[in-house]
Amino acid sequence: MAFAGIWNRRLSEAEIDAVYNNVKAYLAVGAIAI
Amino acid sequence: MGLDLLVPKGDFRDTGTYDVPVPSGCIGWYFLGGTLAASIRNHAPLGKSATVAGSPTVNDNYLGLVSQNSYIDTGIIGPASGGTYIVVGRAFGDGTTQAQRFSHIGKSGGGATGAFFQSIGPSSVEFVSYHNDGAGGGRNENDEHLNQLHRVVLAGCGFRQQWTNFPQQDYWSERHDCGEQRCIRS
Repeated sequence: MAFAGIWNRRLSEAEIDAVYNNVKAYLAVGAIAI
Repeated sequence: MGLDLLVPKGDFRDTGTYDVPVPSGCIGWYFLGGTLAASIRNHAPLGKSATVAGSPTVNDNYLGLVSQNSYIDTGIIGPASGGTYIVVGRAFGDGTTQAQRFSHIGKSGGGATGAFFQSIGPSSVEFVSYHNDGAGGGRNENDEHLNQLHRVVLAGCGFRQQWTNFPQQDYWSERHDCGEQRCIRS
């Protein structure tokens, strides 16, 4: 599983870390391709 | 006199709803892979599902998307005042061909604008931003392992036109001004 997200404002560093850590914990080991 | 509101019990996990950790301003939250239905589900608060164009290939851990042929259309209007775009996943293969790029958003063709992140060899990945004058600004991240988990963050971008799909390229059709474009290995 891979993740993509959009916000209509600029996130702070702490918020980016919060998103990343949350997603990282959720994602299975995988890949994203186009 | 009071008013009773009764909410049926249920397991919200069954609906596929995800508890977004930073809901403020979140307009798109997607987990790509598994099934097409699950991939287009927008978990952002009040977010509408994306629509499918063409025939994306569904894999357990990612979607196979092809620019202008097979992609998901988020229908999201890019905020002119600035926003943030985050992708988390793993790069693989030799990303020198478009079909193997990790992430690519923006406008292609003449006056290309946007950014992409790709693997460029067995042990390197590259993050490249480019602007509406066609001038690219590449950033190499050498000596990384392709199987590492990466996150790509575009922040402070003013998107002037509809941001129609991702992670494959297409399209905000005018210029954007990104205050920050970076990739981070983990």
